[in-house]
Amino acid sequence: MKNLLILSIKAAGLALTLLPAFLVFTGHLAFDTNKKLMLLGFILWFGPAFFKPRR
Amino acid sequence: MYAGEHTAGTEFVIGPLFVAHGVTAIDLIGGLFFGNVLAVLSWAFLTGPIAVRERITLYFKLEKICGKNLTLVYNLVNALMFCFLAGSMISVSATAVGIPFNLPMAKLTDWLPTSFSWVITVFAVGAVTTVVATLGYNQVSKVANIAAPWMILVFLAAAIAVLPELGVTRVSDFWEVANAKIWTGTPLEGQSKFTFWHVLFFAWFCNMAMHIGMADMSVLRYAKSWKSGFTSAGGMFVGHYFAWLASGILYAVFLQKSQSSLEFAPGPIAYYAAGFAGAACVIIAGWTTANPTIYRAGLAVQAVLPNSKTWKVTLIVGLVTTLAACFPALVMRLLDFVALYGLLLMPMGAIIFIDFWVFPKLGIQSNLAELRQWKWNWTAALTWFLTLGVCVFINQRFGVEIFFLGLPGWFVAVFIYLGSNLIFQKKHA
Repeated sequence: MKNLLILSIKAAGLALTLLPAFLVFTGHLAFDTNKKLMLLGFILWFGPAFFKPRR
Repeated sequence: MYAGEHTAGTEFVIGPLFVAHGVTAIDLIGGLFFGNVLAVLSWAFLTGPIAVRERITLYFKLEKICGKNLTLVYNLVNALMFCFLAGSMISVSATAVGIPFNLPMAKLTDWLPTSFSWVITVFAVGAVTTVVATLGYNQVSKVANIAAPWMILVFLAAAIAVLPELGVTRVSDFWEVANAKIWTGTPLEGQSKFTFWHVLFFAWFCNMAMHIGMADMSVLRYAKSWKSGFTSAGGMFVGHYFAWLASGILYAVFLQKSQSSLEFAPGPIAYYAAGFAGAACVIIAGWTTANPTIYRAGLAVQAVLPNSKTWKVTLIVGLVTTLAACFPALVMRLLDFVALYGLLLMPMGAIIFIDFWVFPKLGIQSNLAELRQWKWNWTAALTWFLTLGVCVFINQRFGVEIFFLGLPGWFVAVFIYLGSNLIFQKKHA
């Protein structure tokens, strides 16, 4: 369960890194908001790296 | 592994340098495609088959062919090249670290350190990188593996997000804008003009030391089959294709906003496009590749000084690397340096290739140094030095640029090594 949660958080991190850029491209999201979402994506992707997954 | 290793801090430099050298969009896209295909084929058909048959490192193979002392010279040259390569990565990271301090950035035409604050920043980044490298390879390798997929997405996301600033609001706009505003075909002031052939040969030979030069025998010796060489496509088409295109787009936005300023700093460019994540990406990309490179350089030096402690050698190597990183020339002339790096080590790959495949067919002895207990194989040394001499001659006499010398150089090395061994081994049979 914990592993699944970590995996979901990391997947959300990657999604927040890439997907908002497409919304900026289509004009549905502000350029600066994208930067904030990318920062959140960075935290979500690297944050779980500090927790060791259960084997 | 290949995708991670080839998405490095230097990708933030190479893509923009293509823009600065005035390459056209079609030349870049075509040149990168064919150059990367040739690089993958080189890994698969030159390095892979020998690596899985021999299953030893490049250094061990060189000792068998060239002898211990010539291998030591190779190690020293390799270590020096590693130092400069890691130095360029530290420089790239320093441009991002300097953002909060409004660090004055170097220009494309700068070769020497431009300010005291730049030197201090480079030393701070170099010190951290070196200290981590002295602690070993495992932790850095783990961070690099975690960071790799994220870094690739940051490159892509940053490029996509800035496209509207260049006037691309629909996919169909891209090609027109790419030609008019990104890869315009006009070099920046003081930069030479690049063509399709420059791009193709650069993409093929930028990792020449690894494939044609056989350094990746050390990696592919663990492969189940020679076909694992094809997995290098992951690194080539992610790092050396999309990342270079993406960083070129980011640089074009910078040029548009700065009215073609000659300032060249990947950190602020990435920060503008992707905020903190962009700056972090530049630092992490530079750090995760500079770190193992310093570590590898340390190991290469340790082969020359086997009784010295690893951490001491790594510390000295880190200092040399950091000193090199202070010079912006390393970044501004990165394309030339990378081409030189491959060219210097390429002849040894040609020697291994001929020694392994052709000598047995001609009935002459392979692994001569091992067989005759030599510490210095003069035919190999002659091949290495003469090949480089011929390349310098072609460059000086005919004005052939460094990017193109690898191909004739390989055939020259093959000819000299084959000829010298046919004469020598028949005389001393």
